[in-house]
Amino acid sequence: MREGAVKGERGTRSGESIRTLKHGEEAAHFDILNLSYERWGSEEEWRRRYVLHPDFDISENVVIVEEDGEWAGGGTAWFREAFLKNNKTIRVYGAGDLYVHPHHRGKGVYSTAMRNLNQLAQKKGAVLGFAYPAVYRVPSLALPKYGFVTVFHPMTHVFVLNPQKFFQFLVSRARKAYFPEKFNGLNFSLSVSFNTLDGRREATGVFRIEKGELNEFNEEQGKASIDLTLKAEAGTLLRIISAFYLGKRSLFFQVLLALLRRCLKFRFSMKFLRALLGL
Amino acid sequence: MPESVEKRGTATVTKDGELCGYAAYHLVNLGESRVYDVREIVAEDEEVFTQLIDQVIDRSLKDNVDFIFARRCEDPYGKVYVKKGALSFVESVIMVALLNPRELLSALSQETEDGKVLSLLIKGFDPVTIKVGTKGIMVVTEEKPDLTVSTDSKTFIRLLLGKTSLTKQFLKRKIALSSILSWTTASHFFNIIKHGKWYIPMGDWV
Repeated sequence: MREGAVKGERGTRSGESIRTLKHGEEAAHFDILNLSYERWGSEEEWRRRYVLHPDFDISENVVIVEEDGEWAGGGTAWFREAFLKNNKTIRVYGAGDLYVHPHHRGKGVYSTAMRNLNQLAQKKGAVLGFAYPAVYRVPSLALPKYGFVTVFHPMTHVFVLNPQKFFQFLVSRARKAYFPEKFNGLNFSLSVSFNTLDGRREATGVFRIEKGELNEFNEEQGKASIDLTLKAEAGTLLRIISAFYLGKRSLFFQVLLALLRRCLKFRFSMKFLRALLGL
Repeated sequence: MPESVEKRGTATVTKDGELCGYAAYHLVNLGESRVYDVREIVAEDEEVFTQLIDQVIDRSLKDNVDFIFARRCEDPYGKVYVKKGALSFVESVIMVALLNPRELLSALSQETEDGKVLSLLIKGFDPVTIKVGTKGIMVVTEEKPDLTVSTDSKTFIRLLLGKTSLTKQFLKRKIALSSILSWTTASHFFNIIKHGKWYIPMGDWV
């Protein structure tokens, strides 16, 4: 068996092979991680999150998928002891930072990495697997294929002291989000109001969805018609965005509640309505 | 979360010299924003929790912070955030997969003398035979089952973590019993194994 090969590898397609990261490849792994995520973060953060944990070994826990010998993707497994209510412990694993090199997307590399992470965890005695995807990104939709089921919806609470900065932060997050393809080509204007210690403040922006991604309008596009105009109170907007990704029933309830409380106002074109209804 | 940590801090509340709660936070730079990220907050009651939140807000103002994030897997004092004017939303989900039901149930086993024997069939896994007693369960190997419970791994996980009920899943036909007369045993089994509360360190999921 070659160095770093995963024992008994299965679930690979023709031309694919699986191995684990070798010592000395950390920098290359980190570069691909940053390339695949556009920006994952600092190497210090990667070390803090994984390498510095006493139960973590890069040559055992980091899986790499190769396509015809090229580094195509991978994922990381980390192990913890979980306490049960009878004080006994079980071994659990976390699946994280799955990535696919931009040149190898759409070939099933993610599937291969995820299946092999589950197999690796089972071989190492894990009883349960945990994954922590962002609600607005693709893995939360993909992971059920690999046996994962959503069980917790942890709340994020935010105290906004500078509304304009928080609005910019939301836009930067939204730019990483996945939007259903049916919304491609739609333009919308967003106006968000915040209740702060200094009174009511408002932040606005104009956007366009293209290739499933949110883009800020440039000047030329600014002349185009607006398909959706949204005016919302910040808390209401965040709850609606969450509900959008959590399911239709939740979305309907939140929108209805916001309209009744007059925390949300919107105006839309027929183009938007047709896209929303999938017509 | 990719981050550039500028400063770390801890807020504490003590009563009569004893620690009653603490909050640990980072001051991070996210793009052009200065953000307090509360990584852990633990309090013995709502009053202590409120004092911790107040301390964190006071310090954030001195540090010229733009916004403060606070997250927990489960929020025993979630209403305090609302009272203090925080915006709350769902940003991430925690997903769980079943990898080895036999080992899981073995860890939950205890010596059980009497009880009905249940065969648990989870799609994709070998059957597990369990004796269901009044106070506990025990994985057994050579006893003949009195009843069979069939389900899939996702339904089992949701029942284990107290996110659904046997009745709901039975009505949805996600779980089947060999005989409806065995309902009490099956219901008792799922009550015994239920783990409704989990603490997951934030460092693992944020």
